[in-house]
Amino acid sequence: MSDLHSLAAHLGVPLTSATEEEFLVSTGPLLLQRFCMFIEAELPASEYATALEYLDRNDLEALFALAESKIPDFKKRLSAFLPPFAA
Amino acid sequence: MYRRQEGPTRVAGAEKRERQEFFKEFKKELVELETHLAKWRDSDRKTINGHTMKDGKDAFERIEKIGTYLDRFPLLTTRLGTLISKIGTNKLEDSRAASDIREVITEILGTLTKEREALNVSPRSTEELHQLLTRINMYTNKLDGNNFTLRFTETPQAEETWWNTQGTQARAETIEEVEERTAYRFYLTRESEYFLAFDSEYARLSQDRVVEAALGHETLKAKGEYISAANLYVTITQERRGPDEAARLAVQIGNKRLRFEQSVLNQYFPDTFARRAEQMPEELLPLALMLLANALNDSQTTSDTP
Repeated sequence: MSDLHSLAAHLGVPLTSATEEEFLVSTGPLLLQRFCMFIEAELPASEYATALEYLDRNDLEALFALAESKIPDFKKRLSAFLPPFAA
Repeated sequence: MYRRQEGPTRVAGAEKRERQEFFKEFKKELVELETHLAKWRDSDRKTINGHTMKDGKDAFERIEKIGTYLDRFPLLTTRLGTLISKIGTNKLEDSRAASDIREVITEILGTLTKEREALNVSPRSTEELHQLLTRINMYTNKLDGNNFTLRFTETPQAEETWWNTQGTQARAETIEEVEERTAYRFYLTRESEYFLAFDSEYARLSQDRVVEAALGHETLKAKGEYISAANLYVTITQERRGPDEAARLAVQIGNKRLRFEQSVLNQYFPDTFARRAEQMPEELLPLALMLLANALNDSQTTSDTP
């Protein structure tokens, strides 16, 4: 299963090959914004400057790595912050 | 010129048979109506997953079908037509609709009683019909006014607890509870709208309107309750319109939900981070979604681990 389908499955979206593009283009930016809100909500304030620097550099891998290392129970909390669309 | 004419007895005989046939069918429909109304009554604690609306809709579909049998009763046809129109555009759970059903059923009963001789129905059959319609009346009573005080709760378990502890006791409702109940009724109204949307001419509604309906009331949005309704619609769409349409609807609903929730979250966060995300180049989206997918998939695995 591709990453896109895997993410859609988590969100309860029955993605098909015909709707991949729509999901990517319309939902993708919203998910990214939500992830950034999650960072803002959960990351210790002392790490904000670093996180913003990564965002300004568009270095998402570094941002995810920072979040993972600095937010306790990162993955669990992220999952709670972004529950399935249709649970 | 001699022309052969059918005698009046012959015509009356054919008509009588036809009317008997009609009555038989009509009664069959009423029995089915009773079944649906009974299901509706019995399932009124399950509205959280939409069962009540399904049963209510079945009942109203049955009434609509009964309407087709009422051509012979012009006054009732008009009356029923008005009712059906109200049902189509108004509220399935509305106490007014329930009382309208009762009125129509009373009229049906009165008409059939008057027509009993013409229909050549035995007194026993009439009595059975009386009993049947009385039961239907009881079911609609159940749906009427204050009896229809379903309560919104966040989980089926909480709902069950509420019913067990409070639902059977008469007590004054707090303002909050009244508001909550009102919001829930509003939600049900919307839900009925989109049931109709998928089932009738309402299918021609724009998808936006369907999605709006699926999202329901603000109060319930905040509690996330609309999600189960949205899920229901995605499922229905998948069944009726195929996986592509279902996926499109799910994406639209999800986007609306994300936008709504993010507008709420924006009130609490200065949106510094989200603003940065908005400015990211589109090319980064696949990477962002891949990282999210990995994180969420891992989180599922992690949460499964004791």
